[in-house]
Amino acid sequence: LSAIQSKTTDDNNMGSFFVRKVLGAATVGLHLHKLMPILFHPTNAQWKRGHFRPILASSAAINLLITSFYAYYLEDFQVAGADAMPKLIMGLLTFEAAVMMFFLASQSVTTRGPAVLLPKGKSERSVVSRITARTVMLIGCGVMSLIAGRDLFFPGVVIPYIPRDDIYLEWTGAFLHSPPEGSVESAAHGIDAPFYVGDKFMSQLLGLTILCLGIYKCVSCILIQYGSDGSGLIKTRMFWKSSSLSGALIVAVFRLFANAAKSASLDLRWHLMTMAYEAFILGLFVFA
Amino acid sequence: MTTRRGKKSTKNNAVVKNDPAKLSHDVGKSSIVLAEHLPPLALVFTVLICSGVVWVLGLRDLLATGKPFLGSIDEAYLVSGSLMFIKWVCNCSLSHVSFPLLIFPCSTLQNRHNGLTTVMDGSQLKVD
Repeated sequence: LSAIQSKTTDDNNMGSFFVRKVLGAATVGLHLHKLMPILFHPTNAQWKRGHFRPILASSAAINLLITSFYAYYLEDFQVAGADAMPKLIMGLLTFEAAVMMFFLASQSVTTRGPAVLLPKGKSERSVVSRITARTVMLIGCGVMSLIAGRDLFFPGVVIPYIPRDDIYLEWTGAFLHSPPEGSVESAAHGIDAPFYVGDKFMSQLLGLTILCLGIYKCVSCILIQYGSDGSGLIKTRMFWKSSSLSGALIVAVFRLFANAAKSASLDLRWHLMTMAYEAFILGLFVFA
Repeated sequence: MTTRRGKKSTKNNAVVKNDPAKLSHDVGKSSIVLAEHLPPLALVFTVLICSGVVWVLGLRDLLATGKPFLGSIDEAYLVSGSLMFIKWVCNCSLSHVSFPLLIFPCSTLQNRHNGLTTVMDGSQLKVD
């Protein structure tokens, strides 16, 4: 962390460093969603009542998504003689997904707990918390997923509605590895773009990881229902604990790079405020 | 107390003998906790090993970016993350160049642009 400098220059390339650091924080947060519920699950969570099914199903799907992404780039890794590590990661995630799917399939019948008195205004089909659902729809599944989806599927394409998006792309090096066709950057850096395919891989992997975090948030806040036995509350808290911690971690990394980004005319204050608000709201419903 | 494998624990039996009133309560509570609350051990260990390794790799990227700790395969992965352009070099049929010579331990603007000078001449590529 001490390598983070307060000013961006051509030599220190803080934008690419930012991508790698945020990727690390997002990866830690992503896999925390699997580790925490399994190792430190809530006391009222019960395996036989299916409280772990949403986290297992979404984790298996996310593992397969990440494996597919590595498989897409595997040829590049093989040519570079660096395919051992991606194969190890793919093997681990695929095996874990297979085990999760086996336990999901083997536990076809789950028992339901005794009915509880539902809070006022709630039915068994309601979302657990409207506040978190709205917050996550706006931030985690909204703006963050929009930018992450752009980074994954359309790297280098400027979204005109987002202020200073072109500066964000320039700072993170997207114009180097994926200059938009017909643009000034394409004329200047188009011939060099294949040199930066490694940066493109990292940027796209970051986009995918943020999208996967958005999937967890979407599942927990929108797809899980309250339930007549109040099981929705138990299921969502498994997600929210990890989501709030991962959100806080990403906010911390963004804050560390705020000065470096500011020196490149990129103001991260709005990013920090929105992500910190989401992490705060999720944490409020779990830890308060 | 009923353990995960269904064996009786002698420690809690002693407690139960001293206080028979707690017998049904404790045994019932423990069996619910162990048999119904906990996820299967196979799943726990699988997640611990598989996600644990990838989690540690993520932590490495966060706290010690670029420092390999799983030996040569990790180093090759990290280097390729910065300089995975060798595919492009290979496509230019540059078979006589030793690829590791193109890989530098750290990526800078200099070794990207000056260390590897490309001269496109038809399908040939020369490395300085």
